[in-house]
Amino acid sequence: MSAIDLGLGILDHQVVDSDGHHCGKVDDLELEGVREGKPRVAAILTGPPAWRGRGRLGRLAATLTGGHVVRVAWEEVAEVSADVELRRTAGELGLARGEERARRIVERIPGASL
Amino acid sequence: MKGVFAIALGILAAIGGFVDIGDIVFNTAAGATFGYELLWAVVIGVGGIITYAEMCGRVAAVSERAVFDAVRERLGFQVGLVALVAAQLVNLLTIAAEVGGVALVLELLSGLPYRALLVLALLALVLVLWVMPFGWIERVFGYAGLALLVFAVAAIKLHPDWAQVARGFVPKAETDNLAVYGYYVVGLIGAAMVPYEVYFYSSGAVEERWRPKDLGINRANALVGYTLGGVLSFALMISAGALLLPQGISPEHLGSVALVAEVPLGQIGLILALVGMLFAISGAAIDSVFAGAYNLAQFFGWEWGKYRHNAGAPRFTIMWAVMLVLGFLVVMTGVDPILVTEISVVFSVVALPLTYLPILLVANDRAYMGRYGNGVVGNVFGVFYLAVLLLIALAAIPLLIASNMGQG
Amino acid sequence: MGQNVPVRRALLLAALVLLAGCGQSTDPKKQADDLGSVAAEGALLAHDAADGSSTGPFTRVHSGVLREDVVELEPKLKQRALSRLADDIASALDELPDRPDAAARRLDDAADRAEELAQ
Repeated sequence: MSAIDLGLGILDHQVVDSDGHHCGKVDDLELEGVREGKPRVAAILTGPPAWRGRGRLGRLAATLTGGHVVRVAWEEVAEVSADVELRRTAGELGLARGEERARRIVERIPGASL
Repeated sequence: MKGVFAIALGILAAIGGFVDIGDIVFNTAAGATFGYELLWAVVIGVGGIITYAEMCGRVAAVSERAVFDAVRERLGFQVGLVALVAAQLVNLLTIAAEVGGVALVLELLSGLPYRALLVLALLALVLVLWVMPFGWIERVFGYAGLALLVFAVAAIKLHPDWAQVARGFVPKAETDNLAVYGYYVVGLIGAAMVPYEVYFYSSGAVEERWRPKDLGINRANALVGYTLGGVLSFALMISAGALLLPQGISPEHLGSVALVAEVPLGQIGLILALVGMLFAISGAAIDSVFAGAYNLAQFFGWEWGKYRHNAGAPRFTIMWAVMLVLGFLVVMTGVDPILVTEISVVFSVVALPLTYLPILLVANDRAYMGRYGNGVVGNVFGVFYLAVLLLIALAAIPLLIASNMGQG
Repeated sequence: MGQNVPVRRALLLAALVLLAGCGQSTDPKKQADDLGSVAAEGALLAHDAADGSSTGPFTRVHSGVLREDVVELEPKLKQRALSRLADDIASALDELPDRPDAAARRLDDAADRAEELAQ
C-alpha cells in the first residue's frame, strides 16, 4: 500500500498515544510532494480548525468551535492498525490540552478519582 | 457453570433495563386503545433491537469500535456530524423524558411536589453516576426494574381472552382510525428500538473488551435479554387491554399505568409497579445520559468509559453531566414528561435509519469484520429492518399530526 | 427573504407538532368520551382506595391529576349537560382521598352518564 493510500485510509481514525490514551481523531492530513507526482503524508492534523478542509459543514463546525490545530509529523507515528499509534505520549506532542483542561475542572470535585 | 451464572445475571439486568418510559407509555396506551391488536408491532420492534444490538455487539467485538467510531470512519466527517447532531438531539429529548418520568413516579410514591422531586431526581442521578461503580449501577437498576414483572402477574389475574391475545400477534388493520393505528405502530417499534440502547450496548461491549470468542455471549444476551424484555412490553399491553379498554379509559398519566397493577393485585401490586417503574426509568435515564456522552467522545476521539474513574475521562465526565442537566432543564420548564416522551420516540423514529444504516454497512465491511461479517441471515434481517425503519421514519411525523398524537 | 424560508418552514413544523399535542377537541361526543374516561379511571381508584388497596400519597396525587384533566377540559365544553357532568366529576375527585366510598358511587354514576351523553 503506497504511503498516500495509507494516509487516506487513516482519515477520521482514532489517534492513540504511546500510553494507549485516546488523543483525538485524524481530522485532516498534510500532504507534500503532490506537485512532483509523489504524494506522501507529511503530518496528521488534529483539532477543530483542521475541519476546514473537510467540506462546507467542516468549515461551519470549525468556525463554531474554535480551538487549536495540533500538527503531528508523520515520523511520530509508530504503527497504523485500526488506530494510529504514536511513538510518544499525548502530553509530549501537545495533544493533551483539551483533556487536561477538563481534568483540572473535574479534579476539583470530591470523588473524582472514584 | 460460573460463566452460565454470569450470563444469566447479565440477561436479568438487561430485561429490567430494557423497558423505559417510552415503552411504558406506548404499550399501555396501545393496549387501552386497541386491546391486543398491536402485539405484533412489539414483536417487530423487539426483533429489530435484537438484530441491531447483536450487530453492534459483533462490530464491537471484532473491530473493537463502538458505533460512532465506526460512523465517522465509514461515513466521513460531514455525514457523521449530521448523524451525531441528530443523535444528540434525540438523546436529549429522551433524557428529559426519563428524568421527568422519575420525578412523576417519585411524586406518586411520596406525594411531594413534582418540581422539588425533579431537583431531587437530578441530584440523586448525579450522585449515583458520580459515586457508584458502574457494575453496581447496572445490577441495582436492572434487578429492581424486574419488579415490572408485576404487570405479567396482573395480566394473568385480569383473565384476558387468551385466544384474542394470540390473534394480536398477527397483524391486521381493521380499524376506523388508521391514522391512530399507524401512530401506535410507529411508536411501539420506535420505543423498542430507541437509539440510546445500541449506543450504550456497543460502547459497553468495547469497554468490556469483547473479542470474537465472546460472540456467543453477544448473541445470547441480545436474543434472550431483549426477548424477555419484550415479554414485559406484552404484559403492559395485555393488562391495559384487559382492564382499561373495556372501561373506556384512556391512560394519560404514569399513575394510570400503576393503576393497571393496583386494580387486580391491590396495594402490593401498586408498590411493585411504582418501584419497578422508578428503577426502570432511572436506569434508562442513566443509559441515555451515557449514550450521549459516548457519542460525543467517540466522534471526537476523546477518552471515554463508564468503568473509568471520573478524572480518567474528564471530557466524557463533563459531557454526561451537561446532558443530564440539559435534560433536566427541558422538563423544568413544566412541560408534561408524557408529551416529551411521545415526541422523543417519534423524533427518534425519524432518525432511526440514520442510526442503523452505518451499523449495517460496517457489519458487512470485510476490512472491519474479517470473516465475522454479516452472513445471509444477518443481512436479510438487517435489510428488512432498514426498510421497515425507512417506512416508519417517513410516516412518523405525518401520523403524529394526522392522528392528533394518538388521540384521534 | 429567501434565507428565512427554511426557518419559517421549521417553525411551522414545530407549531404543527405542538398543536398535535393539544389533544382536546371540541367535538361533544369526544368530550363525553374523555369525561367518561376520567370518571371511570377515578372510579377504579376510588374503589381501590375504599378497599384499602391503594396508598395515601398515590390516591391523593392521582386523583389530583385526574381532576386537573377535567379542569382543563371544562372551558371547551359547550353543552350544559357536559359542563354539569364535569363539575360533578371534579368534585367527586376532590373528595376521593377523604371519602373514597362516596366518591366511588358518584364516579360510577358519572361514567354511566358520560356513556349516555356520548351516544
